[in-house]
Amino acid sequence: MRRSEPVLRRLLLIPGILLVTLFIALQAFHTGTAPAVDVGPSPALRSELPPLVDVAPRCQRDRTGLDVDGAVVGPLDLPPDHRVSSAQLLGCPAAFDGRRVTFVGELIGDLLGRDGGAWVLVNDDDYALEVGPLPAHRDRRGINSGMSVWLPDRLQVGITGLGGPGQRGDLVRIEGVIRRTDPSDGGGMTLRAETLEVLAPSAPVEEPLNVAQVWLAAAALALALGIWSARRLRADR
Amino acid sequence: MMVVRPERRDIRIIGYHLGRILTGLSLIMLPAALVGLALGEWNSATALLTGVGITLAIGQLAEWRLATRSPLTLAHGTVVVALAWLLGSLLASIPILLSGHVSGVLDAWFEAMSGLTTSGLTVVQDLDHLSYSMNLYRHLTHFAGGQGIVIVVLALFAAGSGLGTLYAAEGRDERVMPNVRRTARFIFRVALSYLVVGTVTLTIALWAAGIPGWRGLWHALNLFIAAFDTGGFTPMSTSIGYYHAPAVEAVLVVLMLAGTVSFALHHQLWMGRYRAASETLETRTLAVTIVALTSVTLVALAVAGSYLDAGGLVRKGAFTIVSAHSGTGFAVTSGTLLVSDWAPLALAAVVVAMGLGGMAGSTAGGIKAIRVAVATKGVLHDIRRLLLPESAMVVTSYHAGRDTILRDREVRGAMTVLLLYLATYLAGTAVALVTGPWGVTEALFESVSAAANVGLSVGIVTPEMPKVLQVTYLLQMWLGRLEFFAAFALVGYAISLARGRA
Repeated sequence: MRRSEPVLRRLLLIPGILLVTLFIALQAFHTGTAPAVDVGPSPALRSELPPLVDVAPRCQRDRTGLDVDGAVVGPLDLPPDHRVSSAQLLGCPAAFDGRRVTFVGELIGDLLGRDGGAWVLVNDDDYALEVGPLPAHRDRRGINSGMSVWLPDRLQVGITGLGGPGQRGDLVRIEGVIRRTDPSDGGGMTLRAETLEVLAPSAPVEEPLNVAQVWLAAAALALALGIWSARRLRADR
Repeated sequence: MMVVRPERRDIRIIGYHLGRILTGLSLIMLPAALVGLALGEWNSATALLTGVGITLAIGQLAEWRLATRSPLTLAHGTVVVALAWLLGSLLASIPILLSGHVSGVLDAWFEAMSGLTTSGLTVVQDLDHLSYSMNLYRHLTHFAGGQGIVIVVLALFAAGSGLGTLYAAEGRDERVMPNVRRTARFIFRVALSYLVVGTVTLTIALWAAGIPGWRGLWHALNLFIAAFDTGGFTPMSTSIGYYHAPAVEAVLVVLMLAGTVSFALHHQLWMGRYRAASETLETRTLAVTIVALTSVTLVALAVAGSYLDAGGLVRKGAFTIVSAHSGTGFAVTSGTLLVSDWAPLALAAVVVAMGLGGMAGSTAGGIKAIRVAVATKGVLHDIRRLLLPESAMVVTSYHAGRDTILRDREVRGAMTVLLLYLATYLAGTAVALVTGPWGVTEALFESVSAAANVGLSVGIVTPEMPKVLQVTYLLQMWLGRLEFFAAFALVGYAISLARGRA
């Protein structure tokens, strides 16, 4: 038993140390080979975006109704030259229900056509308004956030493209009415667009080839193949 | 408690079988890498191939250097499974780390653990621009974990001894066929049948919803995997709400329910024994709790005025309860809206549904219907014994394929796991309350979602959450998937090794 102690320690410690080293190296590799391509809206366009309204209502429903910060919902001050964010809207839908708002964001995914219009996701997160899509850069700004928007057919004419893998979608300014529970969307919260202006057209996201990662993949596969072959050879003998 | 200290031979056995599982896991990354190459997503493809290479190299090295013919005991198997989920998820995180959509190793590990345990909580940043191949890979982790890593290895690459022990150690004690390999192949056949039917149906529904061509098929495949494996990842950040399509939601409800019933029940249905399938205690318990919790939710939402019309009420309320109860975690309502616009009682019903979970021997997490039923019957049995004369012989039975007499041992087992789940739910809640600004409702919601491997979120799980809380949720997902005992066995092994004497 005593003789096997060092062997046992080796069996446990060495793989552990190697694994930790592997992940430290991968983290360093990941940071060290980061691309930095400017794929966001131009600084001039960013500075021209309407400012956010200065309200942040939070509400919670009690058993029979709604309670906004402990008070009754009052009329919010929504100046027409200001925009609202999805975080503000989702934080207290009742405070915006039926109100006309300005919303700015990136068209994402698909135009889901229905009779007379289409549903579309419009993201107003930092990837849409500030830094552009990942993974062309490493300026990560959290998860996506956006609003479901109903676009009548007449507003879809000027759309050039939607965002997705390898593609930045149109940056649009929408004016429309908020519906806390929209019956035509099975009770979902929606923005029903009345006007749409394309502020910046869709563009491909040029992610440069990570050559170091190609070599890393080749080395890892060669190593795996080598070990597999050696094991097979040993077994055949 | 005296635990025999593991020896070198034990470590070899564990390492060898761990290597076999890692070899199987590495091949899960391959289809996504091929998709990346086909679509010209070179950086994603190389990230995935790096994952394949490293995981395969480690697996093969362990199989080569630690090769042994010694038999695998249940204790070994249990430790292998516990380690496989920890180490497997760590290695499965390599492509996610290299994708550039997470901040570091912990986020990548969290995402992989969430995928493999079919939880569905996500910390991927800018998901809406994530490459097709990497998004497919996220969903394939649900497939590997949902069917059970061991099941995947058994069905595809089964050879040699010990896999039956691993199968049992993974918490899959049902054998619907005479031997474990045939059981694994049956499970795989069921999954493949649902894959074909489910994906075709979803594709048609998505084409009708406005996603044409191959993208409709791609969304359908990902959604099928996540629904049938009760996972919860979705290709888009707004989950199922993205599609605005009742037909898609209806198909997903069927698939989520199919995922949450046990493979033993699938076998009964497969053989045309519909009546027998409907008579088991577990089926009835699951049906009763789904109907009861859906009713409570709809009434609470209606009274509080969360929705203005009956259509919206039923569509959002019923879908959310099925999603929670099945352990899937698909959302048709934003997590923020659940807090800001849902009635507290409805939110409580969702938490209870998540906590209860689906059937034992399915891909769902949570306490499981059979344990709830056995524990309830045990309590009722004790009450009857109190009320009847002391000389009375009280016998309680239940139907689980055949009539079975309820024994104290079964009640104790069900109660033990039930209490362990409750303790885990509360522990995660406490950590969230200590480390963040959230209230009890949100903290409990997120903790139950993690430990029951559900994936619904009210917004606590983000890349910015406190690291202590993130590690807590990661451990909760692991513990919940293993149903505790395999993890305890691993800890016991580690303690006896550290103590340094036999």
